[in-house]
Amino acid sequence: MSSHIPFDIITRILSNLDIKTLLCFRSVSKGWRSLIDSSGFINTHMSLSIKTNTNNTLLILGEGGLNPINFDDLSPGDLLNLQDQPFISIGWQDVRLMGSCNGLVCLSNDDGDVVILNQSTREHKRILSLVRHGFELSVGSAPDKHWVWVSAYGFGYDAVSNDYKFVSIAKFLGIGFTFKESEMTIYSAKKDLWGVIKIPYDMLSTDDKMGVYVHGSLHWIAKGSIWRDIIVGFDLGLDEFREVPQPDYGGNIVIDIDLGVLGSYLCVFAKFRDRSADVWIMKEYGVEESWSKVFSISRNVLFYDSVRPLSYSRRGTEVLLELDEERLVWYGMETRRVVDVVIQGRKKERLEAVLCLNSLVPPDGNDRVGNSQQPTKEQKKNEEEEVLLDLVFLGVLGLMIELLNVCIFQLNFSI
Amino acid sequence: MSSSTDSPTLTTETTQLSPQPDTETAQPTKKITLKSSDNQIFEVEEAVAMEFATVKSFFEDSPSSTDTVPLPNVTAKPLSQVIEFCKEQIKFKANPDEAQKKKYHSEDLLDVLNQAVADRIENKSVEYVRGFFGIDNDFTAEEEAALRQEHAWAYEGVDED
Repeated sequence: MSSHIPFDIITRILSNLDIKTLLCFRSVSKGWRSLIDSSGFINTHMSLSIKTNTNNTLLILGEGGLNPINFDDLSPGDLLNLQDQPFISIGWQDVRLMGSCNGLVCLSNDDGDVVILNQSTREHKRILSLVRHGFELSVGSAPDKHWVWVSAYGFGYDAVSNDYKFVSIAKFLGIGFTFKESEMTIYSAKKDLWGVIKIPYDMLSTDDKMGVYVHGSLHWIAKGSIWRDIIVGFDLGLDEFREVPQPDYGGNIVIDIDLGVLGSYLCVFAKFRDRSADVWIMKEYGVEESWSKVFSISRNVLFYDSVRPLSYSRRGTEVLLELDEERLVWYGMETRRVVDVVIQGRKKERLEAVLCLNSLVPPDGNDRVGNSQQPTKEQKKNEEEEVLLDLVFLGVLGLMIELLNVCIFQLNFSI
Repeated sequence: MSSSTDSPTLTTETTQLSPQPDTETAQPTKKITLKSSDNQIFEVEEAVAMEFATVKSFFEDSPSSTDTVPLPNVTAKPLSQVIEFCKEQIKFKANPDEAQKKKYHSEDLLDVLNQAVADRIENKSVEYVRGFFGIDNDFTAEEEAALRQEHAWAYEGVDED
Protein backbone atom coordinates (compact mmCIF):
# COMPACT_ATOMS: atom_id res chain seq x y z
CA MET A 1 0.00 0.00 0.00
CA SER A 2 2.90 2.29 0.75
CA SER A 3 3.78 2.66 -2.91
CA HIS A 4 0.38 4.28 -3.46
CA ILE A 5 0.99 7.19 -1.13
CA PRO A 6 2.06 10.12 -3.25
CA PHE A 7 5.47 11.44 -2.30
CA ASP A 8 4.04 14.91 -2.27
CA ILE A 9 1.63 13.96 0.51
CA ILE A 10 4.34 12.29 2.59
CA THR A 11 6.48 15.41 2.16
CA ARG A 12 3.66 17.62 3.34
CA ILE A 13 2.95 15.45 6.36
CA LEU A 14 6.59 15.11 7.39
CA SER A 15 7.19 18.86 6.98
CA ASN A 16 5.09 19.36 10.11
CA LEU A 17 7.26 17.15 12.31
CA ASP A 18 10.02 18.10 14.71
CA ILE A 19 13.67 17.27 14.02
CA LYS A 20 13.98 14.49 16.59
CA THR A 21 11.03 12.62 15.09
CA LEU A 22 12.37 13.11 11.57
CA LEU A 23 15.78 11.71 12.50
CA CYS A 24 14.04 8.57 13.81
CA PHE A 25 11.91 8.26 10.70
CA ARG A 26 15.02 8.06 8.51
CA SER A 27 14.99 4.37 9.41
CA VAL A 28 11.37 3.75 8.34
CA SER A 29 12.38 2.81 4.79
CA LYS A 30 14.91 3.68 2.11
CA GLY A 31 12.41 5.95 0.43
CA TRP A 32 11.78 7.90 3.63
CA ARG A 33 15.50 8.20 4.33
CA SER A 34 16.19 9.69 0.88
CA LEU A 35 13.26 12.05 1.26
CA ILE A 36 14.26 13.31 4.73
CA ASP A 37 17.90 13.66 3.65
CA SER A 38 17.11 15.54 0.44
CA SER A 39 17.89 19.23 0.27
CA GLY A 40 14.43 19.75 -1.23
CA PHE A 41 12.78 18.38 1.88
CA ILE A 42 15.16 20.20 4.24
CA ASN A 43 14.21 23.47 2.54
CA THR A 44 10.48 22.69 2.54
CA HIS A 45 10.64 21.90 6.25
CA MET A 46 12.57 25.10 6.93
CA SER A 47 10.17 27.26 4.87
CA LEU A 48 7.19 25.88 6.78
CA SER A 49 8.89 26.60 10.12
CA ILE A 50 9.56 30.18 9.00
CA LYS A 51 6.03 30.59 7.67
CA THR A 52 4.40 29.33 10.86
CA ASN A 53 7.04 30.93 13.10
CA THR A 54 7.67 27.68 14.92
CA ASN A 55 10.67 25.43 15.57
CA ASN A 56 12.75 28.18 17.13
CA THR A 57 15.36 27.60 19.79
CA LEU A 58 16.96 30.25 21.93
CA LEU A 59 20.59 29.27 22.40
CA ILE A 60 22.24 30.75 25.45
CA LEU A 61 25.98 30.57 25.68
CA GLY A 62 27.43 31.13 29.12
CA GLU A 63 30.59 29.96 30.79
CA GLY A 64 28.89 26.65 31.50
CA GLY A 65 28.23 25.76 27.89
CA LEU A 66 25.55 26.08 25.26
CA ASN A 67 21.99 25.82 26.49
CA PRO A 68 19.03 25.35 24.14
CA ILE A 69 15.69 26.79 25.28
CA ASN A 70 12.47 26.01 23.41
CA PHE A 71 11.52 29.47 22.16
CA ASP A 72 8.08 28.41 20.83
CA ASP A 73 6.77 28.12 24.40
CA LEU A 74 8.70 31.02 25.92
CA SER A 75 6.85 34.08 27.21
CA PRO A 76 8.07 37.23 28.94
CA GLY A 77 8.34 36.58 32.65
CA ASP A 78 9.21 32.90 32.26
CA LEU A 79 12.02 31.66 34.44
CA LEU A 80 14.78 29.97 32.48
CA ASN A 81 16.26 26.78 33.79
CA LEU A 82 19.47 26.12 31.96
CA GLN A 83 20.49 22.58 31.32
CA ASP A 84 23.73 22.31 29.52
CA GLN A 85 23.53 19.81 26.70
CA PRO A 86 26.39 17.34 27.05
CA PHE A 87 26.67 16.91 23.27
CA ILE A 88 27.80 20.47 22.85
CA SER A 89 29.60 20.97 26.13
CA ILE A 90 33.05 20.48 24.69
CA GLY A 91 34.96 21.96 27.56
CA TRP A 92 36.22 24.99 25.73
CA GLN A 93 37.41 28.06 27.49
CA ASP A 94 35.97 31.34 26.35
CA VAL A 95 33.69 30.09 23.62
CA ARG A 96 32.00 32.75 21.53
CA LEU A 97 29.13 32.81 19.11
CA MET A 98 30.21 33.75 15.59
CA GLY A 99 26.74 33.70 14.10
CA SER A 100 23.71 31.63 13.25
CA CYS A 101 21.84 30.92 10.07
CA ASN A 102 19.26 28.32 8.90
CA GLY A 103 19.67 26.23 12.03
CA LEU A 104 23.46 26.23 12.00
CA VAL A 105 25.44 27.96 14.72
CA CYS A 106 29.05 28.92 14.38
CA LEU A 107 31.20 28.94 17.53
CA SER A 108 34.82 29.73 18.17
CA ASN A 109 37.24 29.68 21.09
CA ASP A 110 40.38 31.53 22.05
CA ASP A 111 42.64 28.96 20.44
CA GLY A 112 41.12 29.67 17.07
CA ASP A 113 39.06 26.48 16.83
CA VAL A 114 35.85 26.99 14.94
CA VAL A 115 32.86 24.65 15.03
CA ILE A 116 29.76 24.71 12.88
CA LEU A 117 26.97 23.05 14.82
CA ASN A 118 23.42 22.04 14.08
CA GLN A 119 22.08 21.87 17.62
CA SER A 120 18.83 20.12 16.65
CA THR A 121 20.50 17.22 14.82
CA ARG A 122 23.52 17.43 17.16
CA GLU A 123 25.84 17.21 14.19
CA HIS A 124 28.89 19.39 14.06
CA LYS A 125 31.91 20.08 11.96
CA ARG A 126 35.19 21.27 13.39
CA ILE A 127 37.27 23.61 11.25
CA LEU A 128 40.67 25.04 11.85
CA SER A 129 40.78 28.79 11.94
CA LEU A 130 43.72 30.95 10.95
CA VAL A 131 42.82 33.80 13.22
CA ARG A 132 41.73 34.42 16.75
CA HIS A 133 39.44 37.01 18.12
CA GLY A 134 42.04 38.61 20.36
CA PHE A 135 45.40 40.08 19.52
CA GLU A 136 47.36 37.97 17.15
CA LEU A 137 50.71 38.01 15.45
CA SER A 138 50.41 39.41 12.01
CA VAL A 139 50.61 36.82 9.26
CA GLY A 140 53.09 37.89 6.59
CA SER A 141 52.56 41.54 7.29
CA ALA A 142 54.74 44.34 6.09
CA PRO A 143 57.12 45.88 8.67
CA ASP A 144 54.99 49.00 9.14
CA LYS A 145 51.92 46.99 10.08
CA HIS A 146 52.15 46.23 13.73
CA TRP A 147 49.04 44.57 14.89
CA VAL A 148 46.37 42.27 13.77
CA TRP A 149 43.14 42.63 15.59
CA VAL A 150 40.12 40.59 14.58
CA SER A 151 37.47 43.25 14.65
CA ALA A 152 34.48 41.43 13.22
CA TYR A 153 33.19 38.05 12.19
CA GLY A 154 30.05 36.45 10.90
CA PHE A 155 28.35 33.38 9.55
CA GLY A 156 25.74 33.03 6.84
CA TYR A 157 24.37 31.34 3.77
CA ASP A 158 25.58 31.92 0.23
CA ALA A 159 22.62 31.21 -2.05
CA VAL A 160 24.70 31.48 -5.22
CA SER A 161 26.87 28.47 -4.46
CA ASN A 162 24.50 26.91 -1.90
CA ASP A 163 27.20 27.12 0.73
CA TYR A 164 27.66 28.25 4.32
CA LYS A 165 30.44 30.71 4.99
CA PHE A 166 32.27 31.89 8.06
CA VAL A 167 34.19 35.15 7.81
CA SER A 168 36.51 37.02 10.12
CA ILE A 169 37.89 40.47 9.54
CA ALA A 170 41.35 41.35 10.72
CA LYS A 171 42.58 44.88 11.09
CA PHE A 172 46.17 46.00 10.60
CA LEU A 173 47.32 48.94 12.63
CA GLY A 174 50.37 51.02 11.90
CA ILE A 175 52.63 53.08 14.12
CA GLY A 176 50.59 54.97 16.68
CA PHE A 177 47.75 52.47 16.28
CA THR A 178 46.50 54.18 13.16
CA PHE A 179 44.33 52.12 10.87
CA LYS A 180 46.23 50.74 7.89
CA GLU A 181 43.96 48.22 6.25
CA SER A 182 41.60 45.33 6.79
CA GLU A 183 41.42 41.91 5.32
CA MET A 184 38.66 39.40 5.42
CA THR A 185 39.19 35.67 5.69
CA ILE A 186 36.35 33.66 4.21
CA TYR A 187 35.82 30.01 4.98
CA SER A 188 33.59 27.93 2.71
CA ALA A 189 32.00 24.97 4.51
CA LYS A 190 31.30 23.13 1.29
CA LYS A 191 34.78 23.51 -0.19
CA ASP A 192 36.46 23.36 3.22
CA LEU A 193 38.76 26.14 2.06
CA TRP A 194 39.90 29.52 3.33
CA GLY A 195 40.36 32.57 1.15
CA VAL A 196 41.52 36.10 1.95
CA ILE A 197 40.46 39.41 0.41
CA LYS A 198 41.49 42.98 1.18
CA ILE A 199 38.67 45.25 2.22
CA PRO A 200 38.43 49.02 2.29
CA TYR A 201 36.50 49.35 5.56
CA ASP A 202 37.55 49.90 9.14
CA MET A 203 35.06 47.84 11.12
CA LEU A 204 34.41 49.19 14.57
CA SER A 205 36.04 46.81 16.96
CA THR A 206 34.78 48.13 20.25
CA ASP A 207 32.08 45.51 20.67
CA ASP A 208 33.73 42.65 18.84
CA LYS A 209 30.30 41.60 17.70
CA MET A 210 29.07 39.12 15.15
CA GLY A 211 27.89 40.27 11.77
CA VAL A 212 24.16 40.54 11.23
CA TYR A 213 22.90 38.16 8.55
CA VAL A 214 20.01 39.54 6.48
CA HIS A 215 19.12 39.13 2.81
CA GLY A 216 22.15 37.00 1.94
CA SER A 217 24.58 39.57 3.38
CA LEU A 218 26.48 40.05 6.61
CA HIS A 219 26.37 43.53 8.11
CA TRP A 220 28.66 45.47 10.39
CA ILE A 221 29.17 49.03 11.51
CA ALA A 222 32.27 50.64 10.05
CA LYS A 223 33.98 53.95 10.54
CA GLY A 224 32.65 56.51 8.09
CA SER A 225 33.34 60.18 8.47
CA ILE A 226 34.13 61.76 11.82
CA TRP A 227 30.48 62.54 12.15
CA ARG A 228 28.89 59.33 11.20
CA ASP A 229 29.43 55.60 11.24
CA ILE A 230 28.23 53.61 8.28
CA ILE A 231 26.52 50.25 7.76
CA VAL A 232 28.36 47.95 5.40
CA GLY A 233 26.96 44.74 4.00
CA PHE A 234 28.98 41.92 2.53
CA ASP A 235 27.04 39.85 -0.01
CA LEU A 236 28.11 36.25 0.59
CA GLY A 237 26.96 35.18 -2.87
CA LEU A 238 28.64 37.93 -4.86
CA ASP A 239 31.64 38.45 -2.55
CA GLU A 240 30.94 42.18 -2.67
CA PHE A 241 30.78 44.95 -0.11
CA ARG A 242 28.26 47.73 -0.29
CA GLU A 243 27.19 50.53 1.98
CA VAL A 244 23.64 50.18 3.22
CA PRO A 245 21.62 53.39 3.55
CA GLN A 246 20.58 54.44 7.04
CA PRO A 247 17.28 55.77 8.31
CA ASP A 248 16.65 59.50 8.32
CA TYR A 249 17.17 60.28 11.98
CA GLY A 250 15.84 63.80 11.53
CA GLY A 251 17.78 66.47 13.31
CA ASN A 252 18.77 64.20 16.18
CA ILE A 253 22.39 63.49 16.84
CA VAL A 254 22.96 59.78 16.94
CA ILE A 255 25.88 58.85 19.15
CA ASP A 256 25.85 55.13 18.59
CA ILE A 257 24.14 52.58 16.37
CA ASP A 258 23.63 48.87 16.87
CA LEU A 259 22.52 46.42 14.21
CA GLY A 260 20.28 43.40 14.42
CA VAL A 261 17.51 41.40 12.80
CA LEU A 262 13.87 41.73 13.77
CA GLY A 263 11.24 39.69 11.97
CA SER A 264 13.69 39.00 9.09
CA TYR A 265 14.38 42.72 8.55
CA LEU A 266 17.62 44.58 9.11
CA CYS A 267 17.15 46.61 12.24
CA VAL A 268 18.95 49.65 13.68
CA PHE A 269 19.04 50.85 17.27
CA ALA A 270 19.97 54.51 17.08
CA LYS A 271 21.04 55.88 20.43
CA PHE A 272 20.85 59.59 21.22
CA ARG A 273 22.82 61.75 23.62
CA ASP A 274 20.30 61.38 26.42
CA ARG A 275 20.58 57.57 26.04
CA SER A 276 17.10 57.22 24.64
CA ALA A 277 16.93 55.31 21.36
CA ASP A 278 14.83 54.84 18.25
CA VAL A 279 14.50 51.44 16.64
CA TRP A 280 14.06 51.15 12.89
CA ILE A 281 13.56 48.29 10.45
CA MET A 282 14.33 48.32 6.72
CA LYS A 283 11.22 46.82 5.16
CA GLU A 284 12.65 46.59 1.67
CA TYR A 285 16.29 45.65 1.69
CA GLY A 286 18.58 48.34 0.32
CA VAL A 287 15.81 50.91 -0.09
CA GLU A 288 16.44 53.98 2.04
CA GLU A 289 12.80 55.12 2.01
CA SER A 290 11.64 51.79 3.41
CA TRP A 291 13.17 52.38 6.84
CA SER A 292 10.39 52.70 9.36
CA LYS A 293 10.51 53.43 13.03
CA VAL A 294 8.98 50.56 15.01
CA PHE A 295 9.42 51.69 18.59
CA SER A 296 11.44 53.88 20.90
CA ILE A 297 13.30 53.30 24.13
CA SER A 298 12.77 56.08 26.65
CA ARG A 299 15.67 57.53 28.54
CA ASN A 300 16.29 56.10 32.00
CA VAL A 301 14.50 52.87 31.12
CA LEU A 302 17.24 50.78 29.63
CA PHE A 303 20.95 51.36 30.06
CA TYR A 304 23.30 49.62 27.70
CA ASP A 305 26.44 50.10 25.72
CA SER A 306 25.57 47.59 23.06
CA VAL A 307 22.32 45.85 22.24
CA ARG A 308 21.38 42.94 20.03
CA PRO A 309 17.71 42.23 19.31
CA LEU A 310 16.88 38.51 19.23
CA SER A 311 13.19 38.25 18.42
CA TYR A 312 9.70 39.54 18.93
CA SER A 313 7.70 37.69 21.58
CA ARG A 314 5.04 35.34 20.25
CA ARG A 315 2.26 37.83 20.96
CA GLY A 316 4.31 40.50 19.22
CA THR A 317 4.19 43.15 21.93
CA GLU A 318 7.70 42.70 23.32
CA VAL A 319 11.19 42.30 21.93
CA LEU A 320 13.87 40.10 23.43
CA LEU A 321 17.17 41.97 23.72
CA GLU A 322 20.67 40.92 24.65
CA LEU A 323 22.47 43.77 26.39
CA ASP A 324 26.22 44.15 26.76
CA GLU A 325 26.70 40.39 26.49
CA GLU A 326 25.56 39.98 30.06
CA ARG A 327 21.84 40.53 30.29
CA LEU A 328 18.66 39.35 28.55
CA VAL A 329 15.53 41.48 28.77
CA TRP A 330 12.06 41.66 27.31
CA TYR A 331 11.18 45.20 26.32
CA GLY A 332 7.50 46.11 25.95
CA MET A 333 7.27 48.20 22.79
CA GLU A 334 4.05 49.91 23.84
CA THR A 335 4.35 49.74 27.62
CA ARG A 336 8.07 50.64 27.56
CA ARG A 337 8.52 48.31 30.46
CA VAL A 338 11.57 46.13 30.95
CA VAL A 339 11.34 42.57 32.24
CA ASP A 340 14.63 40.85 32.97
CA VAL A 341 14.93 37.24 31.88
CA VAL A 342 15.77 35.42 35.08
CA ILE A 343 18.08 32.48 34.62
CA GLN A 344 17.97 30.09 37.53
CA GLY A 345 21.25 29.35 39.28
CA ARG A 346 23.20 31.65 37.04
CA LYS A 347 26.45 33.05 38.31
CA LYS A 348 27.59 36.47 37.27
CA GLU A 349 29.11 35.71 33.96
CA ARG A 350 29.24 36.66 30.33
CA LEU A 351 26.25 35.58 28.32
CA GLU A 352 25.53 35.46 24.62
CA ALA A 353 22.30 34.39 23.02
CA VAL A 354 21.07 33.72 19.55
CA LEU A 355 17.78 32.62 18.05
CA CYS A 356 18.21 29.50 15.99
CA LEU A 357 15.82 27.62 13.72
CA ASN A 358 15.47 23.89 14.27
CA SER A 359 16.45 22.48 10.89
CA LEU A 360 17.99 19.43 9.25
CA VAL A 361 20.70 21.43 7.47
CA PRO A 362 23.98 19.47 7.63
CA PRO A 363 26.87 21.45 9.15
CA ASP A 364 29.31 20.61 6.38
CA GLY A 365 27.21 22.42 3.80
CA ASN A 366 26.85 19.28 1.70
CA ASP A 367 23.71 17.35 0.94
CA ARG A 368 23.35 14.03 2.67
CA VAL A 369 22.27 12.57 -0.65
CA GLY A 370 23.15 13.57 -4.18
CA ASN A 371 19.79 14.31 -5.71
CA SER A 372 16.81 15.68 -3.98
CA GLN A 373 13.46 14.31 -4.88
CA GLN A 374 11.43 17.08 -6.34
CA PRO A 375 7.91 16.78 -7.69
CA THR A 376 7.98 16.12 -11.42
CA LYS A 377 6.44 18.46 -13.94
CA GLU A 378 3.65 16.03 -14.46
CA GLN A 379 2.85 16.21 -10.77
CA LYS A 380 2.67 19.97 -11.00
CA LYS A 381 0.13 19.70 -13.79
CA ASN A 382 -3.46 19.08 -12.97
CA GLU A 383 -2.89 20.17 -9.44
CA GLU A 384 -6.55 20.23 -8.71
CA GLU A 385 -6.96 16.65 -9.77
CA GLU A 386 -3.94 15.74 -7.73
CA VAL A 387 -5.34 17.24 -4.58
CA LEU A 388 -8.47 15.22 -5.06
CA LEU A 389 -6.42 12.09 -5.60
CA ASP A 390 -4.37 12.85 -2.53
CA LEU A 391 -7.47 13.08 -0.45
CA VAL A 392 -8.73 9.79 -1.86
CA PHE A 393 -5.42 8.12 -1.12
CA LEU A 394 -5.50 9.41 2.38
CA GLY A 395 -8.96 7.91 2.65
CA VAL A 396 -7.64 4.59 1.40
CA LEU A 397 -5.06 4.73 4.11
CA GLY A 398 -7.79 4.77 6.67
CA LEU A 399 -6.53 7.96 8.23
CA MET A 400 -9.31 9.80 9.89
CA ILE A 401 -11.85 8.13 7.69
CA GLU A 402 -14.77 9.98 9.10
CA LEU A 403 -13.22 13.34 8.23
CA LEU A 404 -12.22 12.31 4.77
CA ASN A 405 -15.62 10.91 3.99
CA VAL A 406 -16.95 14.38 4.28
CA CYS A 407 -14.48 15.99 1.95
CA ILE A 408 -14.54 13.19 -0.60
CA PHE A 409 -18.26 13.55 -0.67
CA GLN A 410 -17.94 17.28 -1.07
CA LEU A 411 -15.42 16.99 -3.87
CA ASN A 412 -17.40 14.32 -5.69
CA PHE A 413 -20.44 16.41 -5.39
CA SER A 414 -18.83 19.39 -7.01
CA ILE A 415 -17.50 17.45 -10.00
CA MET B 1 -17.47 7.00 -3.77
CA SER B 2 -18.16 6.71 -0.09
CA SER B 3 -21.42 8.50 0.15
CA SER B 4 -24.62 8.60 -1.81
CA THR B 5 -26.52 10.97 0.38
CA ASP B 6 -27.89 13.82 -1.65
CA SER B 7 -28.57 16.92 0.29
CA PRO B 8 -28.47 19.78 -2.19
CA THR B 9 -30.61 21.93 0.05
CA LEU B 10 -28.06 21.94 2.85
CA THR B 11 -27.63 25.34 4.29
CA THR B 12 -24.71 26.59 6.26
CA GLU B 13 -24.82 25.61 9.85
CA THR B 14 -23.04 26.97 12.81
CA THR B 15 -20.91 24.85 15.06
CA GLN B 16 -20.50 25.56 18.69
CA LEU B 17 -17.51 24.85 20.79
CA SER B 18 -19.39 24.70 24.05
CA PRO B 19 -22.19 22.38 25.04
CA GLN B 20 -25.55 24.03 24.62
CA PRO B 21 -29.03 22.59 25.04
CA ASP B 22 -30.97 22.51 21.80
CA THR B 23 -33.68 25.04 22.50
CA GLU B 24 -34.59 25.72 18.90
CA THR B 25 -37.28 23.07 18.72
CA ALA B 26 -38.93 24.73 15.75
CA GLN B 27 -35.91 24.05 13.59
CA PRO B 28 -36.68 21.41 10.97
CA THR B 29 -33.26 19.76 11.07
CA LYS B 30 -32.00 17.74 13.97
CA LYS B 31 -28.63 18.45 15.49
CA ILE B 32 -26.07 15.84 16.34
CA THR B 33 -23.51 16.28 19.06
CA LEU B 34 -19.96 15.16 18.27
CA LYS B 35 -17.20 14.79 20.81
CA SER B 36 -13.57 15.05 19.75
CA SER B 37 -10.81 12.96 21.35
CA ASP B 38 -9.92 15.93 23.56
CA ASN B 39 -13.50 16.15 24.81
CA GLN B 40 -14.61 19.21 22.87
CA ILE B 41 -18.29 19.20 21.95
CA PHE B 42 -19.54 20.15 18.48
CA GLU B 43 -23.14 20.52 17.44
CA VAL B 44 -23.59 19.83 13.78
CA GLU B 45 -26.63 19.59 11.57
CA GLU B 46 -27.67 15.99 11.16
CA ALA B 47 -27.16 15.86 7.40
CA VAL B 48 -23.58 17.05 7.82
CA ALA B 49 -22.87 14.73 10.73
CA MET B 50 -24.14 11.75 8.77
CA GLU B 51 -21.32 12.26 6.28
CA PHE B 52 -18.99 11.01 8.95
CA ALA B 53 -18.87 7.23 8.54
CA THR B 54 -18.37 6.75 12.25
CA VAL B 55 -21.41 8.84 13.08
CA LYS B 56 -23.52 7.04 10.53
CA SER B 57 -22.65 3.57 11.82
CA PHE B 58 -23.13 4.80 15.36
CA PHE B 59 -26.77 5.61 14.64
CA GLU B 60 -27.24 2.52 12.48
CA ASP B 61 -26.12 0.40 15.39
CA SER B 62 -28.31 2.20 17.88
CA PRO B 63 -31.02 4.12 15.99
CA SER B 64 -32.71 5.52 19.06
CA SER B 65 -29.56 6.77 20.65
CA THR B 66 -29.44 10.36 21.71
CA ASP B 67 -25.95 10.16 23.07
CA THR B 68 -23.03 12.27 22.05
CA VAL B 69 -21.05 10.58 19.29
CA PRO B 70 -17.44 10.12 20.32
CA LEU B 71 -14.80 10.63 17.62
CA PRO B 72 -11.71 9.16 19.26
CA ASN B 73 -9.48 9.61 16.20
CA VAL B 74 -9.59 13.35 15.89
CA THR B 75 -8.90 16.33 18.09
CA ALA B 76 -10.96 19.50 18.17
CA LYS B 77 -8.75 21.64 15.98
CA PRO B 78 -8.81 19.60 12.76
CA LEU B 79 -12.43 18.62 13.37
CA SER B 80 -13.57 22.22 13.63
CA GLN B 81 -11.58 23.09 10.52
CA VAL B 82 -13.11 20.25 8.53
CA ILE B 83 -16.58 21.36 9.60
CA GLU B 84 -15.66 24.90 8.55
CA PHE B 85 -14.42 23.51 5.27
CA CYS B 86 -17.72 21.73 4.68
CA LYS B 87 -19.66 24.89 5.34
CA GLU B 88 -17.53 26.66 2.76
CA GLN B 89 -18.04 23.83 0.32
CA ILE B 90 -21.76 24.07 0.73
CA LYS B 91 -21.61 27.80 0.09
CA PHE B 92 -19.51 27.12 -2.94
CA LYS B 93 -22.03 24.68 -4.37
CA ALA B 94 -24.52 27.48 -4.58
CA ASN B 95 -21.99 29.25 -6.78
CA PRO B 96 -20.27 26.56 -8.86
CA ASP B 97 -18.38 28.91 -11.18
CA GLU B 98 -15.83 29.68 -8.53
CA ALA B 99 -13.51 26.89 -9.50
CA GLN B 100 -10.51 28.64 -8.05
CA LYS B 101 -12.15 28.84 -4.72
CA LYS B 102 -12.66 25.13 -4.61
CA LYS B 103 -9.01 24.48 -5.23
CA TYR B 104 -8.07 26.96 -2.58
CA HIS B 105 -10.24 25.27 -0.04
CA SER B 106 -8.99 21.82 -1.00
CA GLU B 107 -5.43 23.00 -0.41
CA ASP B 108 -6.42 24.46 2.92
CA LEU B 109 -8.06 21.26 3.99
CA LEU B 110 -5.05 19.30 2.87
CA ASP B 111 -2.87 21.41 5.17
CA VAL B 112 -5.21 20.70 8.05
CA LEU B 113 -5.20 16.97 7.34
CA ASN B 114 -1.42 16.86 6.96
CA GLN B 115 -1.04 18.61 10.29
CA ALA B 116 -3.50 16.20 11.88
CA VAL B 117 -1.63 13.17 10.53
CA ALA B 118 1.67 14.71 11.67
CA ASP B 119 0.23 15.16 15.17
CA ARG B 120 -0.67 11.47 15.18
CA ILE B 121 2.83 10.27 14.31
CA GLU B 122 4.94 12.87 16.14
CA ASN B 123 7.40 11.15 18.48
CA LYS B 124 6.07 7.70 17.56
CA SER B 125 8.30 4.69 17.03
CA VAL B 126 9.51 3.65 13.59
CA GLU B 127 7.53 0.42 13.89
CA TYR B 128 4.34 2.35 14.63
CA VAL B 129 4.82 4.52 11.56
CA ARG B 130 5.48 1.55 9.29
CA GLY B 131 2.27 -0.03 10.53
CA PHE B 132 0.35 3.23 10.29
CA PHE B 133 1.22 3.81 6.63
CA GLY B 134 1.61 0.14 5.69
CA ILE B 135 5.25 0.56 4.74
CA ASP B 136 7.55 -2.43 4.30
CA ASN B 137 10.96 -2.15 5.91
CA ASP B 138 13.42 -2.50 3.03
CA PHE B 139 16.55 -2.12 5.17
CA THR B 140 18.66 -5.09 6.20
CA ALA B 141 19.02 -5.52 9.95
CA GLU B 142 22.60 -4.22 9.71
CA GLU B 143 21.61 -1.15 7.71
CA GLU B 144 18.86 -0.28 10.14
CA ALA B 145 21.10 -0.75 13.16
CA ALA B 146 23.71 1.53 11.58
CA LEU B 147 21.08 4.19 10.85
CA ARG B 148 19.81 4.08 14.41
CA GLN B 149 23.37 4.40 15.64
CA GLU B 150 23.81 7.66 13.68
CA HIS B 151 21.27 9.47 15.88
CA ALA B 152 20.84 7.07 18.79
CA TRP B 153 19.70 9.88 21.12
CA ALA B 154 16.72 10.65 18.89
CA TYR B 155 15.21 7.24 19.63
CA GLU B 156 15.07 7.91 23.35
CA GLY B 157 11.65 8.53 24.81
CA VAL B 158 9.53 7.73 21.74
CA ASP B 159 6.00 6.38 22.15
CA GLU B 160 5.92 2.72 21.20
CA ASP B 161 2.26 2.79 20.21
